[in-house]
Amino acid sequence: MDARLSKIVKGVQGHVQENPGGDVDPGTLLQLEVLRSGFKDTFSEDDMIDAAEAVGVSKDDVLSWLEDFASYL
Amino acid sequence: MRPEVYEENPALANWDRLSINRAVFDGDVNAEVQYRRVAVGKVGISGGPYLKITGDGPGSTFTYTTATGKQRPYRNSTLFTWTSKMSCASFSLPAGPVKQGGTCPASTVAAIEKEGTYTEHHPPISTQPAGQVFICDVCYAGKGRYLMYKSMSIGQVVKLAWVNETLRDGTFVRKMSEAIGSLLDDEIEEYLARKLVSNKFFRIHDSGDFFSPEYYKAWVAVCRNLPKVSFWAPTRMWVYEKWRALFSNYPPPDNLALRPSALFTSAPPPSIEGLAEGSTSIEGRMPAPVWNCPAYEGEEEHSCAAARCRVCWKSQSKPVNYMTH
Repeated sequence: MDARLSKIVKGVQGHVQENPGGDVDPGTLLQLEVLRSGFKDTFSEDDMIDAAEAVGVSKDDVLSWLEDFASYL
Repeated sequence: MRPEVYEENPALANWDRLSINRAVFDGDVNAEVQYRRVAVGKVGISGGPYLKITGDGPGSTFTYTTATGKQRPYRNSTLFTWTSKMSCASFSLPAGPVKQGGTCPASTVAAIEKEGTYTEHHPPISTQPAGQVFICDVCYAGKGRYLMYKSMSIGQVVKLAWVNETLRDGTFVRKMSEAIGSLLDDEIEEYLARKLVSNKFFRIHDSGDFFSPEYYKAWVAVCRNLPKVSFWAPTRMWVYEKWRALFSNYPPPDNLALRPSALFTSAPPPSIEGLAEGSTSIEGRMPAPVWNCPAYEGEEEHSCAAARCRVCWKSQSKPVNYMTH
């Protein structure tokens, strides 16, 4: 996985651990953090799928999650 | 392996490359819509109507190869996207010229100029000021992540195959009405509200267009079946005289805001009889009565819900400017 994305994933996982039951779910937080990072059009499809699964998006939902992410301009 | 980022001209839609991605799909789409309970879990919204896909792989699974060479299974395609940006469900088809597998016949200058009568409603494309762009050339659905992720293209091709099959067998209106209607449930509404997403609004075509009169009429019937839902769709089909006649003779119902979109940036929003006021894209704000989309003005989450705005669906008399971003 791209090192910059890996860092974002660790940040999301850390945030979720520190804020269990928080308002923002890890899947959405990952989308927002990648958008904020300035690298939204940088990471490959494989990296994004691996990142989503790493924060808990299920295999059944990951392509739908990716579609939602892609639709963010 | 280095990811493909299409650096040759990332600002432009690349329909040729998209057509290659679209051609990857050679599986089969089951015309019956499947359902999973909509839920808001630890990772956002999941579930809802979906399409089953089969292929030639082990266990009849359809698999595709990503740009970085990894084989991935693609078993189900959700019928709708939970677009966080628009804070509602939406339906998406392949965008761009028909020749490249898209559903937007009016997405090229040549196709528009051939018909010609659009100039009664819009400045001629030949008068496009220097520095402005033909909007379809920079369509978001033809570049960026839409281009990088093959699964995006496959999902849209799957939906188009389903549309064509259900139009052919006469079940599109029923199945689409049932699918959107399945979201009209108090419990689902409560779930979605937690994510600032509404089941009372629906976006037709966050990508794609009404590619045939039959398809347009089918959506009109779907909207009539669901009077409690507000629908919004942009369209370029207004450039064709026969389509303007269709919109006039077969107008969208009150709960469908069908907005004609401008041809180039800085052009005024088109106004077409029978349709909602049009939309355009210009850098910066336009004076009233044009409504400037507020979704991109905030620093944080860029969405209709965050901006507390539903003008595109509900205020059909207001032209809209989606400020260039």
